[in-house]
Amino acid sequence: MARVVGSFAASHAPNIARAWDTFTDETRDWLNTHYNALGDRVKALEPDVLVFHSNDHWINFFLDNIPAFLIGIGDEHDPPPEPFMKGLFPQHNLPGHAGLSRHLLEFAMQSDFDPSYSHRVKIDHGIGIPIWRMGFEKVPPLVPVFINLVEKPFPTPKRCLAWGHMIREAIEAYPEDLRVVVFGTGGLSHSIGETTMGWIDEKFDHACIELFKSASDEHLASELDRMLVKTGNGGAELRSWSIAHAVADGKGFDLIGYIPQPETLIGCGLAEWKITG
Amino acid sequence: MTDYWLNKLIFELQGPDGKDLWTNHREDVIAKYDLSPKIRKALMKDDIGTLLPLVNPYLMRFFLLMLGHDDNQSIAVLAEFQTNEDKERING
Repeated sequence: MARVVGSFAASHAPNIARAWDTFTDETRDWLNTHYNALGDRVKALEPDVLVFHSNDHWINFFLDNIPAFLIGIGDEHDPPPEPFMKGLFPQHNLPGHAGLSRHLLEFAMQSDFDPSYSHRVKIDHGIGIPIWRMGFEKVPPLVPVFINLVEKPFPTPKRCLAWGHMIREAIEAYPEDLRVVVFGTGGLSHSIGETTMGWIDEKFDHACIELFKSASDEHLASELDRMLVKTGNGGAELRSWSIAHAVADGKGFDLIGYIPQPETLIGCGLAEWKITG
Repeated sequence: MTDYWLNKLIFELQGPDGKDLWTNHREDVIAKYDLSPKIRKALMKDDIGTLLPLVNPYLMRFFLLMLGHDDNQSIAVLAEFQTNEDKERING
């Protein structure tokens, strides 16, 4: 049977790629140190598949049709089309895992979730940045799950936590012997294309980090509901962290690093939930 | 309120020739979309204040980059439209 061997979260600011060559040494060193540490932890788990949760950034979605959740079920995915992401991966197209992704889709439907699905998605910077910075010689097969977090209304934190629990169950019901690592990417606080652009809400970031250490689903969901209306719009991406939290049953949170980072415009954070049992 | 055609225009400028089209053929681009006279005028004048409530923030971020504003310039342009409530949120 498949099993979840790790659950992680990491920021995915586009400036990490777009502005890499213009960063101060201090910023580049911080990013290198912490994304390398993330990569080392993930590689040590020898994953067969990476299940990535991220928000779409107007690459796969438009106002004509915006699903709350979309699973990419193809056996390969298109590379990021953003100009600043060109040529960052050893492979051109990125590998999928059609068997596991189809299973996740069907399990979700049987569990009263109604995700959309696509046989061919484009991997954008939301998934591409963490993969790039982890430095895989060969990128493992990916199952991308896109969440709508750019055009309201969004799925609630409560729903995202339920999705995370469902994903854990689904993976563990897959008959093939696979080692699976789950990711939620995005956050922490940031403000993009709105009047408060550039604001990094450190108070919000520290509050979220404290919640991930031990909060119950109910408490985490209610606190996010309360805080997300006050912080910058990018804080919505903490829903992806909530999914990683739920996949780990809310246990084993270990912060790899956090820094408010004006050059990337985000509160930059990386974390692992150590899987037990 | 998100304006469908305005967002579609900006969305479709994300292609490789978007900046050239917008810089050199702006009127032709605008003519392809079912936009109100007010929005057409705002697009011709780079009137961000009129466009801001109608454009998805992530598309606005791209639009400002395409207009040639770097991050600091984009932050400054958008900050002009901060409300007192925005300022209170930022200052805790």
